[in-house]
Amino acid sequence: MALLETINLTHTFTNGFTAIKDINLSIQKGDFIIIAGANGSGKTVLIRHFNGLLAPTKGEVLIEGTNINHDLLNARKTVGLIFQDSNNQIVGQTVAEDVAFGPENLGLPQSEITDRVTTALIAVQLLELSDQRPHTLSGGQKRKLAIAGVLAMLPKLLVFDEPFTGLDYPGVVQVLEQIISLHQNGHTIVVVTHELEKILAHANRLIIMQHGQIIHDDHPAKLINLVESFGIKRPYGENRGVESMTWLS
Amino acid sequence: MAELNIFHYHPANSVIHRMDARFKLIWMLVFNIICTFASSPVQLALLTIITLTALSLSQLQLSSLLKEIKSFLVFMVFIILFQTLSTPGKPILDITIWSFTPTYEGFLSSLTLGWRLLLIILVCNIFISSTSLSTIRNAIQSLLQPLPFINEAKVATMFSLLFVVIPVILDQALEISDAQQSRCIALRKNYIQKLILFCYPLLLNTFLKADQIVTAMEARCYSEFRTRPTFNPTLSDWYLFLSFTGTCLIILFF
Repeated sequence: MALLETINLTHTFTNGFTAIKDINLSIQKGDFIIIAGANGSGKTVLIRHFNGLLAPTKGEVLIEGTNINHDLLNARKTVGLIFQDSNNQIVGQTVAEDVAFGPENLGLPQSEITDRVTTALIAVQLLELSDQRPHTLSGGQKRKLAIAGVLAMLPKLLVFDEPFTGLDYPGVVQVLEQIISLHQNGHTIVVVTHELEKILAHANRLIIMQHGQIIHDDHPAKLINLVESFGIKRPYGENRGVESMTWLS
Repeated sequence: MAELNIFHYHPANSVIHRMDARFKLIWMLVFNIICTFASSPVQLALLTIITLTALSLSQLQLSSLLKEIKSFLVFMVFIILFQTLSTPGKPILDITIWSFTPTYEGFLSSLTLGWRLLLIILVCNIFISSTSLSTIRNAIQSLLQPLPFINEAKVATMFSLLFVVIPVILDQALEISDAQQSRCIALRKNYIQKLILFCYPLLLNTFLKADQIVTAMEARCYSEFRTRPTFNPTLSDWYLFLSFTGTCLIILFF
């Protein structure tokens, strides 16, 4: 059974603009998927349906076979969404408090909250900064904190929306290492990005979107030569293999 | 990066730091009310002794607290000067500044007012310096819980968000201001137009930011039925609370 499935997913905004149309997508456990597309192709609207932040105008989203509308809380626990701007995701006054926000919302006992916060902070190597104010962290650290905040809710699927935007080279490397480590630890990963040269080598699927529809969904090696016709920059080097498309050395 | 600099928590392991935050909050409120009504020098002297005792128990440095409240001290000097010059009575010196004459009555009443204000500010500062913001939030939530018609979880979340969002808004304001300065907004003469040009993007960004924060909170299952904060007051908390509050109440009837 697919971890997440969308069937004829369509979303039309109140002004009549159709952001995504008839999306049929199946995400299997252990997948590492890159969703790429030009600005306005519907990537962010699509992923916001994965945990019910947006409700479909038509079609449905299933998590492990169950329509998310039947159990929205389960959808939010199963699918962890890491937003493009980490500042918007941080609501705690200290690093530890921010990570505790999700588990507190779930009404967990204090001892379990503490355990989850510690485990999540260890996973992103921020434990020693647990008493620091989030506002003082670097861009890469903030992104890792946003990941920890989601990890504390024990999601099965992690969805990153443009995780490298605004980060310097060390920041990108930190976040990339984190994403790969999460995948190796059994999480299913979806990354929305058009910066393919940073991460494509690690993915087993590349989804290309255009005008709110999925145009291609295949192994990255099969699609890399097509990306430029959809407004996505192909990493430099005509004969360059997909396996070299990573910022990890 | 912008920060709220008037609120500073100084971590330590003193009796006051360890004290149940609800007791500290109630004591601070009682102290401030009594300080407002205290008028005689004896009452103020006794309240000063209590403040200094709390300060000594908190292991905080008086000099660092005074440093933090230096802007208030400047403000107090202005109050003392204004009251000394504006209160009618027996002149201290035979001088008049713009038809204002310094008087003994004005000087004495301004000293009492300044003393009172200083004590209130010091006690508030001891409270803030010895209690983390999250603990204050939890204490407020816990104290509001028995009150009807008040959603204490919502109040606590709003309190929390205030300290998260304000630095972000201040950063944005700075960025907008810099961007406008670099496009020579200083050359414009109309202040109202300049204000509108500054406020429009700031408000727009603030509302957008608020919308994004709400979405992110929703994605992390935010609800009002969250894990409630727990407090376990010790015997020493009760002892400190009762002795401090009791002494303050006795002073009121002194």
